[in-house]
Amino acid sequence: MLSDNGIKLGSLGAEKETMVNMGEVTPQQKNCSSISLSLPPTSLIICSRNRPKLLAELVASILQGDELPTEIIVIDDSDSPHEGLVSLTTGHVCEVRYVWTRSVGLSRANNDGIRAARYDILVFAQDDTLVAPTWFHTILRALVEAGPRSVVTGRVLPGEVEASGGFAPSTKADESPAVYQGRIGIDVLFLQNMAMYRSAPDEVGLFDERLGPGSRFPAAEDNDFALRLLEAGYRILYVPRAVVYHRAWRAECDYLPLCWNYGRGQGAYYAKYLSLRDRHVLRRMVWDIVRHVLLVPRRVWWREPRRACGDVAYILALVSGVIEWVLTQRRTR
Amino acid sequence: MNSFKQMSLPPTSLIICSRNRPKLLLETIESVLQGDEVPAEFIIIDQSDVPHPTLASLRTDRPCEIRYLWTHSVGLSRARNAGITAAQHAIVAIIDDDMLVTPAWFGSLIQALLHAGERAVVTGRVLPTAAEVPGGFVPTFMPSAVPAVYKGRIGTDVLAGGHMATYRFILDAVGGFDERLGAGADFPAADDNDLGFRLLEAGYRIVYASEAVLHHRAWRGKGEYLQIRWSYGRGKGGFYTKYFSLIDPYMLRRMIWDIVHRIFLFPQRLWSDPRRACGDLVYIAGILSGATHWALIQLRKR
Repeated sequence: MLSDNGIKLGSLGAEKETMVNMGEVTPQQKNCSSISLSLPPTSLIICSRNRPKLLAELVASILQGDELPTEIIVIDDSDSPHEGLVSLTTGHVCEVRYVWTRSVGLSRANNDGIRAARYDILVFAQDDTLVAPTWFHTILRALVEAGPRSVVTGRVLPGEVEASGGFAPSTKADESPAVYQGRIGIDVLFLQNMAMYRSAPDEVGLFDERLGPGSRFPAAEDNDFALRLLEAGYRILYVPRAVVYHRAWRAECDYLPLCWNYGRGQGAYYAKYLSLRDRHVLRRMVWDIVRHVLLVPRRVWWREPRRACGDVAYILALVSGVIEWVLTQRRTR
Repeated sequence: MNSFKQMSLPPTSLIICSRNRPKLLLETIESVLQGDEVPAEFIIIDQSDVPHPTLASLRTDRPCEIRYLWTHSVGLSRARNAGITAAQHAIVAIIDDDMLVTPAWFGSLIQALLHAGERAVVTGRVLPTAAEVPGGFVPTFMPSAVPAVYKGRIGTDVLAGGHMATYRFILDAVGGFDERLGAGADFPAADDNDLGFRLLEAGYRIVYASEAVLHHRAWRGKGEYLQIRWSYGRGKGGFYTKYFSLIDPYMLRRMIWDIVHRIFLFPQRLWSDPRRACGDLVYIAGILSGATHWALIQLRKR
């Protein structure tokens, strides 16, 4: 879904760092190996499809961090393997494991990454983000302090505009830490900035491969995962100091298709849990629709026609996703 | 007798595509191989999760080369295009994996194509079988016993993608099946409607040969009815929107009629056949969903 802050345009904050060529291990990284040793071994999972440049720049930004994961697993379901990453080596501090697969779908790729991970702590990043230098150790320390019954997510700030009318969806700029438990009525987990113990997906199940980019319901896989976590008694910690930048590489013309995709995924996610006995998700769905309906005239009044159209597309897609899920998926539960 | 008939037909590639329906597939293949005449080449494109061990090594004593191709790809249109690419002969026929053919089917279909000439595509009669499961149904069939020839803008869809034959160069000329449409795709139907429309627009004829008869099996349970109607609506909405134009409102008119006539029929159907009435509602919703989806996602890629 779109974040509570909506889709924002903006520029990178002061924490944005310079790119380096991949494979180049900086003195800073070499010096930090002792710090890394003080952290538990961690697998960082990145999934990508046909965005080789963005992927390479994300890996470079992670390798420039103050501390590094023990391994970076790149699950690439692009049409062809990534030449730069296939042979990437970074020395002994962080092993980069590149896996090219022909499967399709972000959820499937994330699940492949979880299965391939060698360590018990899993951190996730997305190929169209850049991380702040302090991101990795901040999110990891927060998780270690919170314990295995917690999942940590962080701040997602919009990146610099990289295309005409460019925008970054799914951002969260809130500077106040938060702890979410139980039925909170909103979606708070950001897959592009998340850390958890492996025991969490072992208990609540992996990502639902029917949801998420590349599937027929191309969004809300993180919302679905978060709901299952919260229902199972896990806490979701929002740690604003763990900062990633969601790059604004999408052009203006991508806005409506993206709203449609978010609506389809969100509708399917709601439909997955719709029940007359337990109306929590039903209420959430109704409120989501009503909220967007009410936003349309306001956006027209505020002369934001693009966002008004986006709200309409989101509502229609949500209804479409609900119907399709009910007709095609609920029988197979 | 059979071998004499076989010699009179030009070599033909018959394509059958399947995904995770091994029993139906095998029975369809067996019914084809029991026909009076058989294709020179039988191409099986299997998109199942795992290869079919029996089919992978299937042989026949009939004059027919069986080629089993297992692929990771997804989508009926993609599979059919792969079959067309793999075909070794100039005439290509296509059949679905949930059909049973009559003994005379293959010879009738190919003879009809030869009679129709090189600017034609032939389709044939599709009859439903008896229900194989409680409440079983056949989503599409074509029972008419009257032959027909279609040209130009006919306002309806007459080509059955799972029962057709044509010359391979014709499919190459119009670009094969649109892989965004058809089972397994985001718009999971209307791949054959789209091909039929492009053929007619390009000046080809579609010949309905009522003597070529096959049976569409009623293996789907009644619980799948609304799901099928939704899928058909989504595909149809995508198909209509693909050709949306204010300059040429032909397809817009077709879409409006498709929706409006079902709305008019709804009260009557609700009384006489409530399941079908609900199916029409779901179909209309599917059209609107597919049309919006195509307009937002696909039109800007044109």
